[in-house]
Amino acid sequence: MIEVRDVRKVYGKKDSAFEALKGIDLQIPDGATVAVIGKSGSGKSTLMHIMGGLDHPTSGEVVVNGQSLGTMKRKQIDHFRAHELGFVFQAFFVEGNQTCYQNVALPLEINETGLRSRKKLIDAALERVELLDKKHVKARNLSGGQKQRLAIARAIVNNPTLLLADEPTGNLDSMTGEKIIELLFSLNKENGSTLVIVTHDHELASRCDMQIVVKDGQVMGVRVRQVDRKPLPRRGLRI
Amino acid sequence: MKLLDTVRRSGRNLKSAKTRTLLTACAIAVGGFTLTLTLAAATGARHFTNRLVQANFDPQAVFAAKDKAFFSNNATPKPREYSEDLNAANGLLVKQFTPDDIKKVEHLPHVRQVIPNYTVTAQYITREGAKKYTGAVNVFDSASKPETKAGEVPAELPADAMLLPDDYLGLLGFKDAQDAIGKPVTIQVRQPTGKTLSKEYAVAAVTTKSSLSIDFNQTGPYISLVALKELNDFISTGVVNGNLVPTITIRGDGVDAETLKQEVTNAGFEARTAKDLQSFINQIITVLQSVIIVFGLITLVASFFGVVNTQYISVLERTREIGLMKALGTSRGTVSGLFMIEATWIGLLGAGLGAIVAVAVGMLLNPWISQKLNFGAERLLVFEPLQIASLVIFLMAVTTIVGLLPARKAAKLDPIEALRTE
Ligand SMILES: Nc1ncnc2c1ncn2[C@@H]1O[C@H](COP(=O)(O)OP(=O)(O)OP(=O)(O)O)[C@@H](O)[C@H]1O
Ligand SMILES: [Mg+2]
Repeated sequence: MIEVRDVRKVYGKKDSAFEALKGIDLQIPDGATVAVIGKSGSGKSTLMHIMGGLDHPTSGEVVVNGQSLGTMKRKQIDHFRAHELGFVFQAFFVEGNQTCYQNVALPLEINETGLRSRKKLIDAALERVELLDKKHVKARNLSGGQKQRLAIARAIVNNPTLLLADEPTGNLDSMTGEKIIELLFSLNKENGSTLVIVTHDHELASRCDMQIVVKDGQVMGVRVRQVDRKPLPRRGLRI
Repeated sequence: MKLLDTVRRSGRNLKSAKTRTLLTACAIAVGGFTLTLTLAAATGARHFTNRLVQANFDPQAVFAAKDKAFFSNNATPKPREYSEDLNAANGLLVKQFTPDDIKKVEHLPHVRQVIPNYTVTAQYITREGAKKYTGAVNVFDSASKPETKAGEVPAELPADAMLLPDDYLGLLGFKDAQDAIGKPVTIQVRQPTGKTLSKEYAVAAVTTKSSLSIDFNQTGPYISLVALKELNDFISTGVVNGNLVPTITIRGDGVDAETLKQEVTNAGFEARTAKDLQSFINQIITVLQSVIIVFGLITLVASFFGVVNTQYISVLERTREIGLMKALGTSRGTVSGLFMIEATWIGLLGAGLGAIVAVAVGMLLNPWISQKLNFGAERLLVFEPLQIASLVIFLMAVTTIVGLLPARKAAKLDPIEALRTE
């Protein structure tokens, strides 16, 4: 369970101060699929960063499994990011002068996965985003869409319980985009990972358990899909 | 992150900026080069003096003077209160041994022999059919082992024999060294009154200058103590202070030099063993070495600034990468470790490079230096693997410590802020 409690985020100081988030309250159950939708500049990325513990709210708190990220020790946060979290950045942030393999290896190096299982996991992740043939190609030589898929491979390689994806299909054609979405949903189904996706795709949004509409730093509405939910193999967040 | 992964990553980062890494390492290499050569030169010099002292001084013997001033290197020839045994030696006014003093030393329990270090200048040295030459005559110290060109150096030199330096061969008209063996050479001395004494000595061996010899009266013939004493006594008859000797060499009856020195010191004289001389010379070398090392270290300080600068630029260049690593859960320790290991690599590369070049240059120059300094087979630059290894480790350690500053900056970066930089 992830709770966002009255989160505000102010950028800049005094005259140039800008309130990007104006008191957000959310509750996301474990294993849910969530779509965050809203216009450009509405604060979606800011919210995602704060939920992942990458950025600090100006006020309010994010509580993961009963523990506030703000009160966690740096070591605990590092552990949370390395073991529980997968993050797809809107701007990918792949390392251009490293190969696809090396890019995907980073999270496994960080959480100290053994070398042998590391190789298997990397191959599997690259396979799933259909980049296995580019394994030893430097990331800077990839196309925009390929970079995005590489970023996704990196985010899923450590098998996260919480996957935050900031417009993961923004640069993809509808066919490839569809495949990636299927991939993300299958992770949710197979592992019970909680999935939060920022998207402008209403078709995709309608497939999620929850749709959160953000406008000018505020939650305008939360639509919860009432369906006969199969009991999912839920994975609780371990902290 | 595991250490191995961190090391690999830092290696990859350095490789991707080869030129910069190499240039920074070169700065350290200059310091490493200087220090390696300095250490090698000092080691070589120490080895050399040790062999020098061993070749010239009997380790069992003690070298003694009556006056402390003789051994102090800041003695000045200023007036001193009158005393019977005051005399000038080498321009210094020092108390010298009287015949009574020498007897006193001879009667010390462990003393076997006392050799007064007479300085005798011959009126002339000559032989039949040759010109006359004025020069010093030295006492032959049976503990020294001069190099010979011909003949053999006997254990005890007879009173009517001499060792002739090869400088005299041509002067005295010998065909070669072998020609001189057994031939008589005349030494004549003169009293102030004009009375002269002429003695003949058969050449037992022809000696040659050794690279390890530090006899300052190098060019004189050597005769036995008995013979030299005879000449000295003749010359000094009627001369004021003629019977004074500035220094003596004392042989013990088998006791070690330190005990002998203690005995002589207790009797009221100043004594030095070969070891003392050695450590005195080594002290001078140490001082010289320290001066050069200080300069080497100053060079290093400059190159350390270079390392800090390079690493700061590296942190700036890789801000986004650091942001990503931190966002994915890399700890502060790992991030700073990454940069410190990079600094360590640079240190290793620089120090290794400097040491290797220094050894190569040293090996190449050694024969030439030895020739210029008249060292014979001796080598001025002596490289000791352990010394070089500790120097390299020292430089690595210091570069690592210096790399701490940029590493801390990297570790403290805020992940989202860092990711935002272009
Ligand atoms: N570091 C910053 N300093 C100042 N303002 C910022 C900063 N980061 C974001 N903002 C502002 O906060 C607001 C929300 O930004 P955010 O990136 O969260 O929008 P978004 O909803 O993700 O937009 P998009 O759909 O275009 O990605 C924007 O108006 C943006 O200009
Ligand atoms: Mg955004």
